[in-house]
Amino acid sequence: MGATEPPGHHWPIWDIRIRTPRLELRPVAQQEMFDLVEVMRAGIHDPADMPFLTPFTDLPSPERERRAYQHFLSGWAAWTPLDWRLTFAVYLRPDAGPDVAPAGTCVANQSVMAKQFPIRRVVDTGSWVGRAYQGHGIGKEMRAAVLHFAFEGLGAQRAQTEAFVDNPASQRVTESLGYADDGGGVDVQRHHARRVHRYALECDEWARRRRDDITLVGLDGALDMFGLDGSLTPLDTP
Amino acid sequence: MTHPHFPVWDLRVRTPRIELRAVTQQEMADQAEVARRGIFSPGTTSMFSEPWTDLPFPEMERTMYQYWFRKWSEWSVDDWNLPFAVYLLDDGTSGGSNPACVGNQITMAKDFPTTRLVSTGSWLGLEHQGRGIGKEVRAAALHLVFEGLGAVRAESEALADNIASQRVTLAMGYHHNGETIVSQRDVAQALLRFAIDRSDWESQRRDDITIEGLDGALDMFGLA
Repeated sequence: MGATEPPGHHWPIWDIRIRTPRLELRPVAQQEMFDLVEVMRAGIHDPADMPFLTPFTDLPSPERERRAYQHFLSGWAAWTPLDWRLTFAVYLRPDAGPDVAPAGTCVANQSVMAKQFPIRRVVDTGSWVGRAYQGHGIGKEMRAAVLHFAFEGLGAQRAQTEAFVDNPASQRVTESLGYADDGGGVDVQRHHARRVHRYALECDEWARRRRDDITLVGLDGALDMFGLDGSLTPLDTP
Repeated sequence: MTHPHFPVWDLRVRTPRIELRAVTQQEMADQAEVARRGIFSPGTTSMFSEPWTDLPFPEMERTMYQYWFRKWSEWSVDDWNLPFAVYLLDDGTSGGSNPACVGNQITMAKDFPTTRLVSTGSWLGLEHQGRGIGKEVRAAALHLVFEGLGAVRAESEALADNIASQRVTLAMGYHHNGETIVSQRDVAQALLRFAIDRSDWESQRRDDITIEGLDGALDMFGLA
């Protein structure tokens, strides 16, 4: 979007793009919601496993699809600079590699969330990759993209994530990007206790490994929605 | 684009003059522009209990967007809010090639499959008021709920000093249904209630209003 061209909407977060050589991440607007739900419908994990704390993939159709839409919409509805959840749909770029899928294919979901970010400078991330696209390094590539967004774009000091102990694919991505062990915990899933590993990546560790081939687009116009344009005074912070 | 995974977004109600479209991305942008140009004459009180129209740019626009995001994200069969953007199809000047957005209409219901009761609200851009559009919008909304959804009763309210709204309501055949008092900007205001029962709607129903996209969305109303 050119600098003088008025935006077609009043939700500037929708203009953010994160690009790596292989992937483009776009916040979920109307088209992205549809694309992500189609990926979900095609399957995002072995039905015998449940890698999500909230087992949304268990629901019958069409409740599953509508709940997914409502989940995306609730993230925008509840957004404040002090408590936000930003969900990206992940698309293949022309250099994604010939064996994955055509350029422009939606393949995954990458979310990043934060509370009191202007003060804490901490983000948490979560993600899933469509089953048909797993095993091609997409999970690692999109995590690198969203970490670049958080550390380089927003000035985060720390990024955290967690995974069930029986989700080695997620742990492998996390460890390969330099996160340190940050303990364990117990969560509740379907009324059962599930063990999780926690991980954290500090800014200086990220900076040692940072990539120079990831670009951020459209963030300047959205900075005030993150409380990062100087408008958030100490009085606004709890 | 159509919305097979959220079919209520494909809902349209059309009269010869106006079209109601469920509020998605384009409709949000269009309505924010209408609201920014003004809904009230300067100096008059807002008709809303939350004076969101007082907010500066871009807070007002974002407040509107989040209001719509919330309505859709909280939709359930037992408690739904259905917001429409109003487009003017034929105002006698534009030629109807590119319908202009002129306002908003919202229908709300709780436990509708049991109660068959709805309430409605609406607003129009200042430059579109006084031309009978409000009445046309209400006729479209009532057609959707009585003809499309099988409602037995529709209710509406208006602040006592909002004469234009009351005129529309009474012209459509509503009867007085009591009153109450609300606080608006810390001032007590009388709020008049109105209701129209199905039989009163049937005696004046129109045959030039069409509903599009309802069949695929009926289960979102608990009516499939």
